[in-house]
Amino acid sequence: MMVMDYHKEGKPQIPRPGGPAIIAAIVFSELVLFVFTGGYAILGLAVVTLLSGVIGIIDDLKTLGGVVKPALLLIGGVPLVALQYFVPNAMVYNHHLYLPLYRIPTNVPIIFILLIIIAIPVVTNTVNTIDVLNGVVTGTILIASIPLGFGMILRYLVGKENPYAMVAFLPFVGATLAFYYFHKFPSKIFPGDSGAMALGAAYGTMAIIGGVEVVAVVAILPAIMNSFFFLSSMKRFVEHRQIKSQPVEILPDNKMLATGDPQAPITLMRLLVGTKAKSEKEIGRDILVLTAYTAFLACITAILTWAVTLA
Amino acid sequence: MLIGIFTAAWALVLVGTVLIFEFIVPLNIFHSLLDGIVKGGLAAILVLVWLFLFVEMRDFMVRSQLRLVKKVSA
Repeated sequence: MMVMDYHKEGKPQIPRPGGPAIIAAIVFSELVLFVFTGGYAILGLAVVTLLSGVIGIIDDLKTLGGVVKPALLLIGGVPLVALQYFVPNAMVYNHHLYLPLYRIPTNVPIIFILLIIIAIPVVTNTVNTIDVLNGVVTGTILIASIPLGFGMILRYLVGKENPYAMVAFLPFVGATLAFYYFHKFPSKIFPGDSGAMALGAAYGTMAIIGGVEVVAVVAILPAIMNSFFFLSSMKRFVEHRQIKSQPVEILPDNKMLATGDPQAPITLMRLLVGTKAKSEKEIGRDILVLTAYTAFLACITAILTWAVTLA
Repeated sequence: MLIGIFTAAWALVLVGTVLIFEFIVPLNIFHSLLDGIVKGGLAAILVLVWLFLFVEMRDFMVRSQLRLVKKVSA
């Protein structure tokens, strides 16, 4: 399918969705790794990415409602829990939650199941909402993956790592990097809901199997805040295509400026262009700079988590 | 401005974690089921305080970032 790139001169047609390519890259490479290593955490990552990606493909073909989509995504985390409890010695994840500035790992097996079931759809949807401009969602995931890897290395140093998570991390980053090359400004392809949701689900799963949940949350704070701003201003789950009042307007020079419409949702992009009109490239760069900053905060969080554990 | 908001959000995550796991979770006042209820209640209050602070931050952002847009539009 071809869709219009609204923010560019001449409104060029861009292929969409590129999600199936992302899904195939992550799922096939993880499955090959699973065959060679036998690590069920790797299989879990492949299955969760595939499930959430397929829901994304359905959303690309036939737009799902603002409530139906998160509801369907609730099945995303089920394979992780099923593998953990139905496959003997699967060791998909560790239900000891390590927290910053807290010495003792919190043993919360039941809460952890709920956390997984809720966290996968929340992260998937949150990452999907940041797919607003060229290269933003893939760039965000790439930058946010740095503290994830850093956290897993620190876990390794204290002897608490899941080795399969570190193995699974590489194809995930490789697939995202490869797609970013084509998605960066000016985009040659859009990931669509399938691509953004597959990336979100894979990111959430990486955080769980790698045992770096809090670090992962801090790293994608811009996306989380964007979701929070949106939901708290709209006060309900709503599909972005159904919004009547747009948060930004496109000026004749293709720059964007926040609208003064009080009915329009509050979004990160709207706040970034609240006082000054900016081009798509400038807004995308601002979002990635903010993500780089929160990735830095996430690295500090990782140090606060593992350094305290080491002490 | 946004960087300040993100730093504040991060600080809230850290402070909340410490409050819940250093103070609320180890609470054992009554040595009975009542402790669980007290902990649940305190955690719920903390979540409400978090939400209130986040909404306040959002409103502060809207007031400071979108105020000028109305002037430009007018």
